[in-house]
Amino acid sequence: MTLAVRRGLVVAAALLLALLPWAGERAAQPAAAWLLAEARFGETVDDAGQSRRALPHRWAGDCAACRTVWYRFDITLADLPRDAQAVYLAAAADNAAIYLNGRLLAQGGRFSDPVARLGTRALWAATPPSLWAAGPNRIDVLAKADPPSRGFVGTLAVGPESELVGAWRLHEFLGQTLPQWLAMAAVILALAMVLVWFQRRSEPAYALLAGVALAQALQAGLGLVAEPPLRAWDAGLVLCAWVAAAAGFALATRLVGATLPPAAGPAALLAGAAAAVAAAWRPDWAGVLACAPALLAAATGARLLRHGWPAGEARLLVPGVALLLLPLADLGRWLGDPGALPLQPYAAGVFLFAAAWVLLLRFVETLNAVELLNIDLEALVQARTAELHRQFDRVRELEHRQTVAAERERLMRDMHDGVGGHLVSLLAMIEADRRRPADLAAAVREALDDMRLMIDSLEPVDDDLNAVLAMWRDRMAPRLRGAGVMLHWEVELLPSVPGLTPARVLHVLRMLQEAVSNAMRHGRARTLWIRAAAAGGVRIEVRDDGCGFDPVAVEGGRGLKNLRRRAAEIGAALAIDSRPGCGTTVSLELALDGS
Amino acid sequence: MHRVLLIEDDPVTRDRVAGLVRAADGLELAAALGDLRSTFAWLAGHEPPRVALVDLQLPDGSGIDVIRQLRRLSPQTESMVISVFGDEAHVVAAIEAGATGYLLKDAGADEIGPAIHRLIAGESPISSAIARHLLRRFQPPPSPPPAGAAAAADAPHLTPREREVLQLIAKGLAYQRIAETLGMSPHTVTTHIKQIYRKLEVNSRGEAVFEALQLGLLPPAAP
Repeated sequence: MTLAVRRGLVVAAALLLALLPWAGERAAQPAAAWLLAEARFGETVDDAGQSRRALPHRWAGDCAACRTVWYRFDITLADLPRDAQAVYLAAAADNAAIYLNGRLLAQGGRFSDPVARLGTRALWAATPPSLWAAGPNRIDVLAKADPPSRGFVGTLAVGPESELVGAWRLHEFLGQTLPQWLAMAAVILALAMVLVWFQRRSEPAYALLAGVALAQALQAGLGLVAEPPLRAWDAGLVLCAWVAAAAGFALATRLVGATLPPAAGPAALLAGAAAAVAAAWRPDWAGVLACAPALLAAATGARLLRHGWPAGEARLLVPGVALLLLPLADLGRWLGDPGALPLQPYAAGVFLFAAAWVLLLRFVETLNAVELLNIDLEALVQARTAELHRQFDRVRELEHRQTVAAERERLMRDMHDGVGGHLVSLLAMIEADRRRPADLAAAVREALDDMRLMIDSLEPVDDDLNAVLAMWRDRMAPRLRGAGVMLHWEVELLPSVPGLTPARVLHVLRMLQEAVSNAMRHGRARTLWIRAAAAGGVRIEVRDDGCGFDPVAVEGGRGLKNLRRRAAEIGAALAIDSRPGCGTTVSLELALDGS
Repeated sequence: MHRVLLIEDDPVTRDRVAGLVRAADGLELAAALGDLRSTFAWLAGHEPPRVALVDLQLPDGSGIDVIRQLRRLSPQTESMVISVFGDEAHVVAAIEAGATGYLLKDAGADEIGPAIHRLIAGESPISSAIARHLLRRFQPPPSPPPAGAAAAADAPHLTPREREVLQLIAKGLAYQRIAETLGMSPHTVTTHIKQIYRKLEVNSRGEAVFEALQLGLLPPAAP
């Protein structure tokens, strides 16, 4: 099935739907045998009978100023009817009353101003046979219209009640009940759309559809009022038609994806109000004034069709066709039988629900698209998260490499200061071939000790200076014992020293080492006192009983320089107190603030 | 005379340590071996020694295996790790296998003999670094262990006394000072240390059993 065929079918279905009541009305016609298609017409009941007129009859052609007219039907019966007889006037405007042999059978309401409106109501009277006479009978129909220009009387049907009641019921259903239902449904639709719009103010399509539906329902409601309280009642109908048409046009504009100038809304309302005022002022213009919105509706329908047919949305075809039918539907009433049922409520109903259907579909499609978008978004977020993790890992890897590099640099420096130096002096000794194994062994031991101090310095000590001192003692006590040096360990429990990094720990260990080996090598000490106590900061003291020296004289010694450099690097205060013959005291003061 | 078995792969070091053991009073070198294979062969054909000096890095495996085998064969044998640095990673692994002491490879003639005799007398050497390591090792879990950690929970804990001893050793106090501080004899301090070593060994076995259960290597005990 080609696209065009499919679209053609859609249009045909919409046409059928909108024209269904029209077909129904054909079925609601009483059988021709019971129709009285001719009457005698007169301006008063007395002169009725002067001229014969075919029905339905618009009397303005005969009497443009007549607000009330009379029609007379003469029926001659051979016998009294056996069954109840129905008298049925399907349509008249504005109001009518039926008399049988001078007795009132039925009437459409008030005849004084403002006159009642029959609208789509039929006049129906079931009469007992007793009201009829064998021989001539007279039926008089009184009609009143305001303005007279729209006055007419349709065909009268007279026959057995059982023959006519079906046609009357169907007429009532199509003309009254179904339009009422449609109006109620339109009100409910309008409420639903208003609720949706409250939640989604950014989409005026819902509000516009609500406006169309409300105006439509109100128009139907006003039309169904039997006894309008004002002569200018039709002005309300005109206003409703204008509002419905304008809102429908704006809605269609949105549906095809176009926009209106912002002034269009107020302008349309103003035009509608002007038309309503005009209709109130000249009720006989009301029909003409109601034409404009019908034409606007047709233009709107054409626009939807043009957008929906070639490549656009096929579902726009249904509301488009419905709108096109709006003026066409009532053209028949203008040109032909004025008593035909108005098709406007049906075409408008089809338009309303088709437009609501389009909005609903679009809403659902948007929801689906959002769901898909959410899934995409989730995948995107996951991808981003993974990317972030990768970047984080890269950064961590880089940091790790930097740390390793820095640590490696430090270790290299420390090894250069320590083991490297020892190995170089060892090499020098071997090359000099002094053949003093004891010196060689001592140099190797020093190298080993220094490596052990380096290893110990890497141990986490949790800022515990006691642990650092203990490590040194664990390492060096056997050496001192082997050298026959007495060690007095007088270390108190110390407060924690913040910032004891491996580098600082190694400096402390090496300073102890330097002080002790100076004492042993140069001072030939026999006894060592190592003290540590908290005194503001922490004070570490290495005292020996060696021969001492003059600090001023040996200022440039390598060992002392090393001590000073290390003390400066860890921000400790170093004091060296020595006099020849009185031993040496090296003291180191560490601050507790971690600087 | 106490028989001493030496396992060390470097021939020069082996000869040096062997010489020092031979020279020491009251010690007799039972054998000086260089790898696992010959050690296990020797153990199969000889009476277990009183003391074994074991290097951990051997060409055909780890000296830990020798220590473990000796614990099984002969509980009265004391194993000592000989190590260049005496670093706690090596020493603690050896203690977990059942060693009760360690020696530095460059220990002098006047150090090796006395150290072995102290070990036989029941005195285990311990450095402050090793004490700190043991304190961390025996630290009670911060929160109650989850279900399934029953084996770990059953593992021996340090008594408060043992913990105090370790803390003071970690601070670098001499045994004499520790004994004074805690109001005990220096001998009791060494007993505590040996006790802690044994607990570490048992603890590591408990962990091994627990891990084996977790891995499904052992059937769970009948309730």
